[in-house]
Amino acid sequence: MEAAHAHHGHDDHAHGHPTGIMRWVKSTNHKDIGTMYLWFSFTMFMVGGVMALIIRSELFQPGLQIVQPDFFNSMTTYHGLIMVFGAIMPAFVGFANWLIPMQIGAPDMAFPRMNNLSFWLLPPAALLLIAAQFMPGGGAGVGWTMYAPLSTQAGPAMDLTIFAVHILGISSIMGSINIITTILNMRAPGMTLMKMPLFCWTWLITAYLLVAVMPVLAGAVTMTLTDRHFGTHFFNAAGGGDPVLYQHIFWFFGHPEVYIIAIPAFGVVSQVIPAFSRKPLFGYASMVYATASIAILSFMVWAHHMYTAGMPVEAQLYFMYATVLIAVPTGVKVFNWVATMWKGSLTFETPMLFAIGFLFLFTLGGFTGLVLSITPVDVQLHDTYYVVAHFHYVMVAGALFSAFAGIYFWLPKWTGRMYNETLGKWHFWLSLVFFNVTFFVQHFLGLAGMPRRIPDYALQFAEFNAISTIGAWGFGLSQLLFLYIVIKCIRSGEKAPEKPWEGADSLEWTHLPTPAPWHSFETPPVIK
Amino acid sequence: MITHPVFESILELDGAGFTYFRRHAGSLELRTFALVFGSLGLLSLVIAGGFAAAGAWVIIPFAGLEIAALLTVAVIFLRRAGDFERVAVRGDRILVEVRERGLAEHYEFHRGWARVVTGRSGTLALRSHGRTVEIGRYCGEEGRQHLARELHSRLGSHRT
Repeated sequence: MEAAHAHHGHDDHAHGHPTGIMRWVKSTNHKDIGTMYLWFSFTMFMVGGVMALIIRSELFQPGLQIVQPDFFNSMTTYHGLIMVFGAIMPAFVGFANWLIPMQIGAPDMAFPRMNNLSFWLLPPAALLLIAAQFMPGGGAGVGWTMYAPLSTQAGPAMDLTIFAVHILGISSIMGSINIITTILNMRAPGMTLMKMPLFCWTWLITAYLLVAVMPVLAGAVTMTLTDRHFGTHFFNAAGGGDPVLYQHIFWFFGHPEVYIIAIPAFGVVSQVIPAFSRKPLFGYASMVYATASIAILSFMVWAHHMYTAGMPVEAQLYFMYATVLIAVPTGVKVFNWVATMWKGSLTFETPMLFAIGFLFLFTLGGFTGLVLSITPVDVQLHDTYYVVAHFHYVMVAGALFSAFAGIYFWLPKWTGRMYNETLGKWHFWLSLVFFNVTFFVQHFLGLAGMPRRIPDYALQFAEFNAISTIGAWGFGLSQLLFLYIVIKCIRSGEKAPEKPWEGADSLEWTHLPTPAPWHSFETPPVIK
Repeated sequence: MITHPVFESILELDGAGFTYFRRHAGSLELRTFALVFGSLGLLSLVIAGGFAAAGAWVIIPFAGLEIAALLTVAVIFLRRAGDFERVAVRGDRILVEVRERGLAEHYEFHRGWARVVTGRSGTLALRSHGRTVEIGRYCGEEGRQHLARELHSRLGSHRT
């Protein structure tokens, strides 16, 4: 590490980097842009979280308690859209910005100005999503899937939502092309593809998926727009269109989107578990191939979201078997993470706790996904709280826990300071307990037949709903502790050692000082 | 496993002369590039074509826009791929050869008159008789500092 210091000692005083607000507005530095992505993501996580608490508070007791049904529907719509497009996706793009150049030995992203633009498209899109609440008639209560014909008949908020989705899509495509080019073209000498940290591999595959499916989403919402305002009938059965076509188009985007969120999470966990097991990742090559297999399969299973929309039994069988097949590469990954820990010198700092939490809960979410993939079962459980529980186990315990693991893991590298380990562990345990209090009981609600997206429900669902709401408030408040931990770390955390995690072995830990310098790898390292 | 960069890799001392040569950094082989970007464009077209056949033709223009973006990146990549710079000291002459975005240019300076100029933002240039040529654009700040020292020691004011 001393040598690395010698190389980067100049960075603090070299050609002065900008300060003040313009540092952020005009930044082309991958670290600054990564930081902005992460803060934006947390802000949207809070906004989406408040919406979730409104939903759960309304459902605390049967009967209409706090909000009107239209507003409730609007909250379910924008909670989903904001969490998926505003919170989780930008969080992992933030990780990509911070880490990919450092992990492959590059000085920055391939197209730094485009990187800046990719980020700055996000705030206007987020504002549009929030502003939609204040349009005449309120937000669009169409669900995050924006199914026709509901979306073609919704109020003007739908137009803002469509515009926001377009902007978010443009941002994603620019970011993806940047990531693909960076990983392929800016690796340091000797950094072959199969030597890259798995996080880079997962992002390469994710970016490929994003570029492939984003035009589909753009087309879907544009057709919704033209059906609304320009007299087309793509999804209007009365005009010769087909509303089920929208569902096919949306889920052709939407299912890969699930993996667009999950695959970078796999990458983060694949960095954290080996570091705290003090062992190399078990089965590196098989992890790469399994990730690619999941991505390929994700294009072939979209209609398992639509078993009840009507399709031939042969199609139902195909989509059922194809969906079950995804368990194979996913199982490879889970077994490899477990095998990495097997006989390792394990320690359980906060990043590792969140990674293990991810492993348990994501696997559980995967299993409930398998249950839902079985057509006759799904026909019973479709649009029930079982589905809500399933995808929150994948999205929250999967993606979000992985993001927390990554933030605690790389926070010393980013800030040069250590977070408070005790508080970090409190954050983990509170999140773990309250997450399960919130969502585990929703499996029972779904199995008992409670539909989702309803502001009122029958009396027999009261107890589990009350428990779920208490869990949601606990989970939400626990995230304020996370905010406190991060701010305290940045402002007054203890100085981080050069390499706080002895088992971490990627370039940013072995080859750069802590905190990471303003410019890293202006001269590429040589990897042998 | 990992070694630190060695400055010697960018400087060759050949007898009494001196040659510095550096390519635009790029780890992507043309074949890999064609495979990845070509398959992405093709996949987008196939998906859009499939949906167009089902009546959702609006996806095609978006796929087209995306392919245009991929092509733009391809053009930038291909134009930069062969870029390099070479600075050679031969007797009393300093020869500079720069290929940027596919365009090659040659400059010649007299060793006795040329000066190494360091810009405020860390850039490096050779200047003589009103002509300035930027050099060291592919070697990072440390590399530029090293290159500047090497050139200084060989220019007119430092000769014995």
